[in-house]
Amino acid sequence: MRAWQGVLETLIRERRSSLVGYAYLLAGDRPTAEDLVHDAIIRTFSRARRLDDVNRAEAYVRRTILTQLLNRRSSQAVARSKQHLLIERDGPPADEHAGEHDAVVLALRELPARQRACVVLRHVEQLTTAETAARMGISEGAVKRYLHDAIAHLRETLGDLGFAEEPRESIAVAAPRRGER
Amino acid sequence: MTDDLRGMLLDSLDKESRRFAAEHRGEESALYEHAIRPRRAWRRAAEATGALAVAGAVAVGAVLVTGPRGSIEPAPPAATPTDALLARDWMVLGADVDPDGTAAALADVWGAGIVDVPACAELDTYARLAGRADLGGEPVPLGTVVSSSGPADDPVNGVYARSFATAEDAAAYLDTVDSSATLCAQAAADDGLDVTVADVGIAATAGTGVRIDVADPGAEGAWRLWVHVQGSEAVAVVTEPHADDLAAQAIRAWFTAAAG
Repeated sequence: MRAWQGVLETLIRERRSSLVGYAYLLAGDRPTAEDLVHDAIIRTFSRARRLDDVNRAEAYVRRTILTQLLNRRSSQAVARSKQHLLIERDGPPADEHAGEHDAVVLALRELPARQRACVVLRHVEQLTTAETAARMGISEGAVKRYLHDAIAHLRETLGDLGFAEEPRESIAVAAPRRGER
Repeated sequence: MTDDLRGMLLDSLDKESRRFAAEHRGEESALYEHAIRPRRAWRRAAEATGALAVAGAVAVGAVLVTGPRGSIEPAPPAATPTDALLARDWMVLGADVDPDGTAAALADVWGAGIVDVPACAELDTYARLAGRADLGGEPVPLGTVVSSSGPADDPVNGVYARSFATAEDAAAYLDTVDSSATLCAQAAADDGLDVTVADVGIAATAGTGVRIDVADPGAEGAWRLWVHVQGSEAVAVVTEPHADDLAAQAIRAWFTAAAG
């Protein structure tokens, strides 16, 4: 067994459900989230990259999920692109939004994709504003605007949960994001 | 934002994770492997084909027709035409740009031994933004950048640009650079060279990049390659050992000029 196969097996067994939860916050609905994860795993492991560490593989998959989301690949397009892959679900496909009653996700779903992405990167992955901007390929000013608008909407929808304004940050000229390897 | 929102988000993430885990108890690794294995093989073949093209070899047909797509696909057109890149008026404050200059290759600096490692040899290819013809566009040499106050024969920063077919293609190219650099780092350690790879961004400049330093612990200075991608465009800067490192300034200047 090659290294990537072992990492894939571990990732599917131990990390995939968490990745689906992550994608669910980003996408706002289950079918899209599951498609994003499915496609991101295949894309990540299909690349001629040495994947011998499950943590790094998971990080790549998360990045790919975000990239796909920001490229506005619809769930239908994702589904079309993978029809030939013959991966079958082992459960029935979820009806869109069926059984989804999570107030936070319902509120997130009402946000544009880029605002959702900013919220998740900033508050789930705990990236700085600069890191969030770099990850999304947009300016820091845009990140701040997206977060401001998103927080205003979430506050309106979910009530005052003690949200505070974004803290000011110093700006680095060149900021290693994962550190040197 | 406070911990309240973070807590709520993590709670939602956790609930969805548990739901998914409860509904998907089957072992699917084999199915994923079935889908991934031919794609990996095809991608490696395509990358090898790209490298051969750079070297002037053109025997691509037999490799590509064995891939899952079953046909030779021409390289997609670049999002920005090469002529437009060449015509872009750009300048680096406090520095001189020599449009005919080039920076030293990795082998020129640390000897031919390092390029015996294929992944390290690829770094010279990627320093010119060459290879991966399947992603569209072609490399455009922009010359060298040196500090205006330095001597004329100072080490330089060599710059290339390339417009890929799409932003996704540009990101894929960056992944390829990252992957080769990581492999080079592992292999070069056996030869006593330090190769470090870091994901880097530039404040107030959109996009993302990879910076690779190749250094000999027994010598001073490092050969540095910085590839930055913004949308469908990429810029690569090679900074020779002992040069004033103007990579970030050059990258920022290039994309500022692009924005008009």
